[in-house]
Amino acid sequence: MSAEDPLQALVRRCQGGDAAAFEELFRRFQPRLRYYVRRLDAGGDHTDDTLQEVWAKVVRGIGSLRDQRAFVAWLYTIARNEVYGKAKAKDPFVELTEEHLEALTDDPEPVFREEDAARIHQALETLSPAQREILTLCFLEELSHQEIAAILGLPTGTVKSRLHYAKQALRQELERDYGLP
Amino acid sequence: MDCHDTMRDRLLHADGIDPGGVSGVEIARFRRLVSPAEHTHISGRRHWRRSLAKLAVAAAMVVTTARAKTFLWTGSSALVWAAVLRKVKDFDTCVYRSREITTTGPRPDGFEFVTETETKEHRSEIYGSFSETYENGKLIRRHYTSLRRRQHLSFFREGRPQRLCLRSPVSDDGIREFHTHDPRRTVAKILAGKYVELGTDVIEGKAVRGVELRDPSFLAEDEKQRKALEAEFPDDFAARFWIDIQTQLPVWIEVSIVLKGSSVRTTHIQDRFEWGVPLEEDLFEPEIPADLEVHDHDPAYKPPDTSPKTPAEEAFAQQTLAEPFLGDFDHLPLPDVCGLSLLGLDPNVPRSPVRLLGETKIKVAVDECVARWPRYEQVKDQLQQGLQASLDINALDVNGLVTTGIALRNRFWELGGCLSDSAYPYIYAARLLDEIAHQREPENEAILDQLVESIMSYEVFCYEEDPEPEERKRNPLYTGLLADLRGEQYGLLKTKVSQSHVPTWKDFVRCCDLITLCHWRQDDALASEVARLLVEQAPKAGWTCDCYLARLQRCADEAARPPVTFVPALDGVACAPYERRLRSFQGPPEYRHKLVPVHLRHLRGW
Repeated sequence: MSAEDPLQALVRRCQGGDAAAFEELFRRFQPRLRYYVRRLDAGGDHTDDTLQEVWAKVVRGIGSLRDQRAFVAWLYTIARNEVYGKAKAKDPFVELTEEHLEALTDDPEPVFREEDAARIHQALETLSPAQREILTLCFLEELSHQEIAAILGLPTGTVKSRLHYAKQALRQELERDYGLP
Repeated sequence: MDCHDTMRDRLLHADGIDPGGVSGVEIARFRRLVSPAEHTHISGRRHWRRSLAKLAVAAAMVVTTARAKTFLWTGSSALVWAAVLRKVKDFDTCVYRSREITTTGPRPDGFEFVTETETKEHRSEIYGSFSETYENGKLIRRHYTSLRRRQHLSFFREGRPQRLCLRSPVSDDGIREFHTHDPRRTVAKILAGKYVELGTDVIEGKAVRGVELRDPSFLAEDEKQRKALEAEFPDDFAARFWIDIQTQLPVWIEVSIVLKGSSVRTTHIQDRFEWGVPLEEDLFEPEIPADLEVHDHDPAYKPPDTSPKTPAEEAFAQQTLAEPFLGDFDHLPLPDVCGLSLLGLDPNVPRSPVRLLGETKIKVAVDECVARWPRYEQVKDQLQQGLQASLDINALDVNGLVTTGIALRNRFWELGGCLSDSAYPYIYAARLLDEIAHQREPENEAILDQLVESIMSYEVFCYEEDPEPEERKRNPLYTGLLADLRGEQYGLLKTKVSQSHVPTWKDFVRCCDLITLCHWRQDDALASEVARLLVEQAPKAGWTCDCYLARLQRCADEAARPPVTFVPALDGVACAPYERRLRSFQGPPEYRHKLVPVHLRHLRGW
């Protein structure tokens, strides 16, 4: 029997109504969510209200989460829907077709170093919203392509290709501004 | 920390976010979110059963003479709050939204029951007040207090066929009460207490600053109320108050309380304030529409005194306490049935917490859930085989059958009762065991009581629909099987009375149930006969107090409803899942313990 992941255990405690566990979850994820929401709602001044709504939904709905391992994807899905509104809960961005992009995903992807973080943060703002969002998710959480696909409501292939293009775009932006090798 | 974590932390830093934590204000805000108190709302003038709840409502609204000090706005707390008091004192009118939310909070069975009402209040210090109250978005009441005419008018059931108008005079006490309902008074009282700063926040897009007071003595208006408070100190209390930083005017006033021993939190919130709005006098002095039935409140009315006046009444009270209804098996140990699995259902499957808003919604949810269950008759045989295999029920005596039935019924409630998709085998099993016990001892009235209780645990007498119709669909099982079972007990009682038996509280409860059921099936002759028997027996049985005998006499003479036997000492929303049964219904243990026989109300200080 494998030991339960600490995050899963935390989520399970929340499902049991443990207030301390809720607070721990909140402390852990609130900063990341704030970053994510700000990237999605660039220039908006509703971040606090949005986050409040997100946590209200988490508190109300966590009991319905069947698989504790899915918590992170579920949390970001709630945040995303909250930013874009339920009516636009699917994908708000125009995207190239999956077939068109699928072929490109085998290309080697650029690697970013942790030292680049501050420059990445600024460069993100210059990218398209779709690229900014997927990279933000990627940088914030070590999510699988399937998990990102679940959050964005996209096929996995599209996630792979969008991520590929986003990383390329970011790389170009960094090279342009900072002359990175 | 791995590379990914470092990368993430640096990104967050770059955006001015502390990756290691969140601010105290954010934590405080989140704690309020997790707390059941956050699910709040208001109604206007409710009739509160308990004195402290009444105090809480009064205190939640109020005005005062401001105790302004000469401070300037400098950002330091006392200065800010004094400035607020000064500013609000200058307005003699205000319009605001007032909400009341009552919630059970998350219960052990995974449910949370909530009611909310919302009132738009208009207040003028000179003319009076006018309010409109909404429940689930529907206007349910208009209330007017005219200080000039010294008159309260309440128009109830707005938009429905039977509309009522309640009219009552405004006494001197009423005038005082009017002024204690001013939000400015609440503000002043909070600021006069030992409050703590809540820091800043945002409410409806406005930057706000708040304080919190946890001392419930805030509720007391005078020495008498202070004593009442000491005798019944709330289990939890908080008053919070937020001002708009820019205008220094109140934007949010909140009083939240859990009364001693209560399972319900009540929160009053006042917000969306408009200060100094011009309000004309005629807004507070409406003409009564011709189609409204006007009821004048009798100021001389006092609730009946239920304390015993005769030796028979005293004996009746003592016997009620000594032999509680449905308590015939209380002295026997209950078997442990927690590990029992019936009909192949796993009762331990985790269930999502459910929050049900409004009594109608709770009842609709109950009906929808029970409708999903198979009928008792469909699974009875399978259940009997399962019980035989697991508990060897053929070997149990009647006490064993009934106590196992009680344990199963308790288990049913623990698992969520009529709001659970997996609890029904337990209540069906309880009914089955009670039926077997009844077959073995058909003249045992205590077993019949248990059987009626098991059936009522999952069968309601009428079904709720949303939106609520005027006429609700009745459950034929009540006028059929349950009327027959109570009829059997009545037959046994007649025989015993002919043999000089003095009827007991249990006989009284059963007979009152039967009178109700007779009315429902339009058997007025039997209803009248039962009532006559109770009237005849009243002097020696001891049910001669006004609340019983007068009603019984009406039942004997005409088709009238029987006396109320039990009333629940619970706040409304916590009762909703157990309503729509006969008055004898005892429900889960926590509900049963709060039920009060009407003639013992004086023991609760009512």
